[in-house]
Amino acid sequence: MVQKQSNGHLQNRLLAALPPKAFSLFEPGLRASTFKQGAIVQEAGEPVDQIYFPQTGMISLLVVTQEGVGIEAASIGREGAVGLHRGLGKRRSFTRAVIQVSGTISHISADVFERAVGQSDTIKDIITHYTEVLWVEAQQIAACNAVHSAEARFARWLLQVQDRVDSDTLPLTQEFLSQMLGIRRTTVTLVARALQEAGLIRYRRGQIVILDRAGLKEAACECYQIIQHETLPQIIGVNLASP
Amino acid sequence: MPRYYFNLSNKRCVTDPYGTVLLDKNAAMSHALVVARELMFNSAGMLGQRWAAWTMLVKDKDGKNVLTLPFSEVPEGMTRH
Repeated sequence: MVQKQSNGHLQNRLLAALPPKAFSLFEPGLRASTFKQGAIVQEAGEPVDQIYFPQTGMISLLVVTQEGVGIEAASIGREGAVGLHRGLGKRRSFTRAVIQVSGTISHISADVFERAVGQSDTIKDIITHYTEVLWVEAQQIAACNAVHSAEARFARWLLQVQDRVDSDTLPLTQEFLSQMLGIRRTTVTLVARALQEAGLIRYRRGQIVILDRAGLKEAACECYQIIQHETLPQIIGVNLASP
Repeated sequence: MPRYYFNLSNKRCVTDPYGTVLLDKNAAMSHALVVARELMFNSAGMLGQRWAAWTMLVKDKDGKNVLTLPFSEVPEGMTRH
């Protein structure tokens, strides 16, 4: 983790959506740092002591089983935050939060954030609404993991990552993909090579380039459209942003 | 331990360039079955061809065919491990 000079906090859309008055309540406590792929920023079962607002990159929330396997329950980029509900009071994290794509993240001490939330119903409302959005996403992903094919889930997942990192080139290892999707590395390779044969992606070890986004959408299950953070708040009728 | 490569063959081929290190041929067979089930789970086929038309060819590091698993012979109703 490397502390940065320029802050860029408003690149995070949740922070950008806050009215200036509410934002100013905790802005002095925010720090921007870069985080590397694979870093664990929050461990399951541990007290939440920092809140993370990605500016770039992506964080995965993993449910960790007794065997030590982590399956992805949600992914968070610049449209969201990790640990936001901690603003309402002390919490332990249910999931493990791992940096999935390296990036710059604004973060703040949970105690400092909680004090700001105590003075602002606007921030409280945003926390409540965002938590609802994440809850719906987790339900959809649970259903998706249970019933959809490896290829459809793989395509859905690539589109999700692309939305969050805003680039056609995704730095993703085979091991990581295998863990996220709960399938063998061989299966990841074969599905990726088939998508490459179909001209939708270019696949190399540790890197995927999206060549045909429209084609990938067709290969993906409907879950992709449902959990898009741009549209999900409207679907469930919550108002996240009032820019 | 040997490295095995799990390639898919049909009118078009989908190759596994990385391979997987496994104990022996039996372990390779088990792995092939698990991968076949993961691929077939709630999916009609690949690259527009039904699964019944695909075969998994397992090769060793010299490119020699070690095992052949026609998807038409993968037991139905078996999904994920």
